[in-house]
Amino acid sequence: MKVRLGLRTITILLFLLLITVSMGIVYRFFLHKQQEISSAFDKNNFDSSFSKLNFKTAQDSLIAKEVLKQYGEMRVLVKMANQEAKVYSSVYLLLIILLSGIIFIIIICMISRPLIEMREATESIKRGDFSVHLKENGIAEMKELKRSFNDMSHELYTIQNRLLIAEKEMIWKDLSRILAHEIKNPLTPIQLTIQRLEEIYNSDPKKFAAIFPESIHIINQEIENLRQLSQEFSHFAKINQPQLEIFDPAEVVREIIGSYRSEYQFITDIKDDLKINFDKMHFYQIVTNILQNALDVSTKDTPIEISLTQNHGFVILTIKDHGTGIEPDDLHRIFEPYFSKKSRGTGLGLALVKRLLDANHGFVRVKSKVGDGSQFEILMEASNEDTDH
Amino acid sequence: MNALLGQKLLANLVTISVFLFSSFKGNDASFSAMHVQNSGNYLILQTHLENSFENDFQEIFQSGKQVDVWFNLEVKQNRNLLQKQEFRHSVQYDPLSAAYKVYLQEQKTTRVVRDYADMVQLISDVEYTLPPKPGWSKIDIHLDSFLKKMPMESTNKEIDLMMLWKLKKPVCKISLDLKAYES
Repeated sequence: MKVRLGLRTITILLFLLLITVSMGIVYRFFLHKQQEISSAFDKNNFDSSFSKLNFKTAQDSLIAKEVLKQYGEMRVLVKMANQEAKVYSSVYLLLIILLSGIIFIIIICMISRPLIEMREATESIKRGDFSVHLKENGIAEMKELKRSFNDMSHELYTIQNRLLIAEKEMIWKDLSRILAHEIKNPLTPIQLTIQRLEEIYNSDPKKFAAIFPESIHIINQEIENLRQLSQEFSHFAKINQPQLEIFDPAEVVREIIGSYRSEYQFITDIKDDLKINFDKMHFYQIVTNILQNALDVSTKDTPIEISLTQNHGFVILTIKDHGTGIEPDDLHRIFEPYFSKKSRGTGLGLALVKRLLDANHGFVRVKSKVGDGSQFEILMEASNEDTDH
Repeated sequence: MNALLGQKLLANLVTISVFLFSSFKGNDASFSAMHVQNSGNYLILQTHLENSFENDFQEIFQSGKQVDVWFNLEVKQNRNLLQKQEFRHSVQYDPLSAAYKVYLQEQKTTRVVRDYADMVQLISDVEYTLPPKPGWSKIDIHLDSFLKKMPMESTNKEIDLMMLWKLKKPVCKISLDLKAYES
């Protein structure tokens, strides 16, 4: 743990140091004075002087004994006072240091604990959790600070909720618009075909038989489009838990490209024997979706470059087209659901790619330049295990 | 129990603070290992107080006042107190004759010595005769020593001599299996 002393801590430590040193100096001074008194007593040798005297009577001896006893008691008193002063002053000094230390720690805790709470609360807000509420306790300044913080977090929480509601409304509106548009697209040709069939059946029944198969084909095709549309929405709504397996992605990529080789031009650099631990079906969906976007902006003359390599523990699949490219303002929105600039698109393709990659712990990187094309890089953790395991 | 804990805490506090901040030396009084002798129907317990009267005691003894060194002996069996005995070693100095009169209560003897070291040797040696009673088998013997407060007539106050032992009572303990001593 990194310990950094703040100005307040340094001030308190300095204060404690000054108190201890001052007390030490005072203690030494008194000790010196006591020592002087003790030495003065020790220099006088009354006992031997008295013992040399020739007392004439027993009474004299008794008096001398009493005087010496009183003198001895005085010496003991001074000696013990000196020693007691030494002991108790050191005990008081230790107690004062301990007490000051405890007070210091309490003060530090009173200051630092609310700051730690504030830091944690700020981290929560940083993570997007605005519901955080601090208990308004502690010293007056901290209480005030916590109150201001709580007001701020409450305000942010309210704004977040409003934004969420507004965002939901917007998403529903967008979804409704896209769905209405996408359903209307096939419905119009179906309706027109049926109207045409009805008209011809009434005006020219002989011609009816001739156009009937073609009309039925159109209707079937548009119904198929509707089915695909519903399937796409369904896929996006429920992404299954990934069924991880170790496989060589090169095989899947080649298989997907194979079906388009007759109509499009591909430049490939696909390395074999690379292994990823990924849901195979998810991988198929990811490649198909990105490739479909590349195909939509490519012709026979504009090749699509596909490479599969390994770098720093990641297997990287790169799909690069030379199409129209993506506007810089749109680049950060392309993975949002229902965001699409195509005339016929649900805006779910790349959103699905992102969600599938998240589920499989993969990443996607995009580079794009308007008029020059776009490059999608799919990064997946390389597996060191053998497929047999 | 709490008083004992408080005493120990205070003694430790004194030891630490004196060690850190004071030039006070005091005495780290302790007992030597207790030696037990079987003398027929008696057990003779022998031990000796060590490092007890080295610093500051000379002035106390030579003050002419009576100084008592108290001993507390406890005999226990399975934590039950079987016997408790307090006895003292007293010293009184005569400044005119420069002699120490030493009274050993447990031996009921009085001796007069002139040399300070001899006097310290006398009061430090403990020899206690313990007659075991029926029913005693595995016993624990506890011996501690302490100094009572000394009254000062001139100031009407008492001085705590335990200060010179850093408020710590020296203690000596031994466990005996009396059957082993019988054999």
